[in-house]
Amino acid sequence: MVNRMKIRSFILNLVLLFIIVFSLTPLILSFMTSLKPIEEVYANPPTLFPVKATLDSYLNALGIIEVRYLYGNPSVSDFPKYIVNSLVVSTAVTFITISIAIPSAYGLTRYRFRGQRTLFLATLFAYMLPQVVFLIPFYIMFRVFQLLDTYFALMISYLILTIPFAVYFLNAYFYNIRWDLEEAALIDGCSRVSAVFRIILPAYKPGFIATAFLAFIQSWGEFLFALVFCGAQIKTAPIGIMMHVAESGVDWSGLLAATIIYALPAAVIYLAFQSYFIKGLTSGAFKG
Amino acid sequence: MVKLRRRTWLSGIILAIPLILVLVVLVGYPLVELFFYSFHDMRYLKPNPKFIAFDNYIDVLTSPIFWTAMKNTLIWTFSSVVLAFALGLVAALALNEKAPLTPIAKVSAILPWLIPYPAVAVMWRFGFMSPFGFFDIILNYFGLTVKGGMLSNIPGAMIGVILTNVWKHYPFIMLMILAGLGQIPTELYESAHIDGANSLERFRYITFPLLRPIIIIALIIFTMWSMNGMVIVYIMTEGGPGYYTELNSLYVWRNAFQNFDFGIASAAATINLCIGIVIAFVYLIFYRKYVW
Repeated sequence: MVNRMKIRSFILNLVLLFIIVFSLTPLILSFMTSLKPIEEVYANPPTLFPVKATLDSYLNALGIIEVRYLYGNPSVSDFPKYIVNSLVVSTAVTFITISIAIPSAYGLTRYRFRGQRTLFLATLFAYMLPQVVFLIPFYIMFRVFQLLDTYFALMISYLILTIPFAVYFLNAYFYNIRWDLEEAALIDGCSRVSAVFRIILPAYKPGFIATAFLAFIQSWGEFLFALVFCGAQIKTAPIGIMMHVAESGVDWSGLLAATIIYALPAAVIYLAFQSYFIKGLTSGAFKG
Repeated sequence: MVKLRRRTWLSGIILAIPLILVLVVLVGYPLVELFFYSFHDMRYLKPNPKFIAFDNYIDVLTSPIFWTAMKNTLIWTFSSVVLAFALGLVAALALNEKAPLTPIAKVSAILPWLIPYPAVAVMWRFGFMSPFGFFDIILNYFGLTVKGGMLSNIPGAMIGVILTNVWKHYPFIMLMILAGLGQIPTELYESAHIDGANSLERFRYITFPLLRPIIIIALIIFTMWSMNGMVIVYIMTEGGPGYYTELNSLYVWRNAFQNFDFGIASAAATINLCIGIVIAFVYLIFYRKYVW
């Protein structure tokens, strides 16, 4: 019996160790590479860890000091501009998404009307559709309205990714909210609207904030639409990074530094709202 | 309350109007347009496209690259789902036990899921680079030298992108299963224990049946993400070497924005759409079964 327990705990620890090593290796080693001066990235024999660690790559990516590519003249990085573009688009998309999704999800859960189920199923359906099918119609539409390479193209197209998900997420959230508060407010003579503003919004703020951040992260991480709809004027951060990936003799430590700067806010936000996110997804799989 | 809700059904619709507009204008209408384009000669987006009936579809369906892409999409989706599920399940069961390493393992396992796709793909692309990428160095250390680097190698490129996809997504499966495990009442296990069920039986007759809904939902969502997820492949290999890692969605993108034949791309996208609709329906069926 003791022996079996020992084997069991040995296997358990082995699995846990594997999880830790498998998950962290790419992250830690990418970070280590970003700390290398560029000559060291291409050193022979190649190394995993930096000999002379430096934060130059981060300062480069943030535009504080000049980029030194292997070839060509040093220049100031465009990366901060791309980050600003990403921020502008993601913030706008978040606000639009929230202001459409909250009332819609409220209407879907708190009222009964004909076609309500159909509407919710249609929303779920829209969430499940492949993103690539929208690429061509959107591209042609934006071309006609001359919106290509503007913030609007990205904002409009991102809505089809964020809104169905936000409605789905909020729908589950509203279902799990007890109606007592609202009912009490209504019986006390509160109108629906003031019930929403006085009771619901304050009481259920965490869910709304989580929805907002999830919409933000979705737009922040979007790549395909940005790849096609961005021209020279408004590249988002991932497109800016991507442009350098295929270059030969590229400054990989700088690129990885930019990648880490880009990934960090999303990771931190996710970590903060992880439990909400899981609740939103799993409430789709459990009754009640 | 019911009466009140009945009387105010109109307000419900009014609140949902923005959503209806988004679904009609930004989702429905583009799909109609896509369908329209797929029957027209849309090369270089010349004005007044000519109606050419099924020519685009015939071109797509007789193109060997389309079938390569189809085959690759199946391999990529199926392998990703199986591996991520296996890893996610094992990780969830391990993290559900108490051990000194559990808290660290939990935080580390969530991290890949938190990194945006483009960042994941850039990190792994670098990792596989020969001879200075970290993964290449590690492989070399174990004597598994891959000529020219994983991503320009014939089985290597596919293995590389699938590994990346699994790495990024197994935490999602794990988190879903962990959430499900947390909802199983412990009394069930206790009474099973008293009845003399061993741990395998407990898994077979309690854990698994109760987890089934969440596993099915998680698997369908992940299948959909993988089938449509071209970002990792685009950044890591751009479908190469040759068309070895070309996916359905990349095929659409390539025809439209590299070959500028929007008609063929629309036909291919319509085929993708049909596959997507089938998956969406499967999802809705299970969603209604378990949630409603």
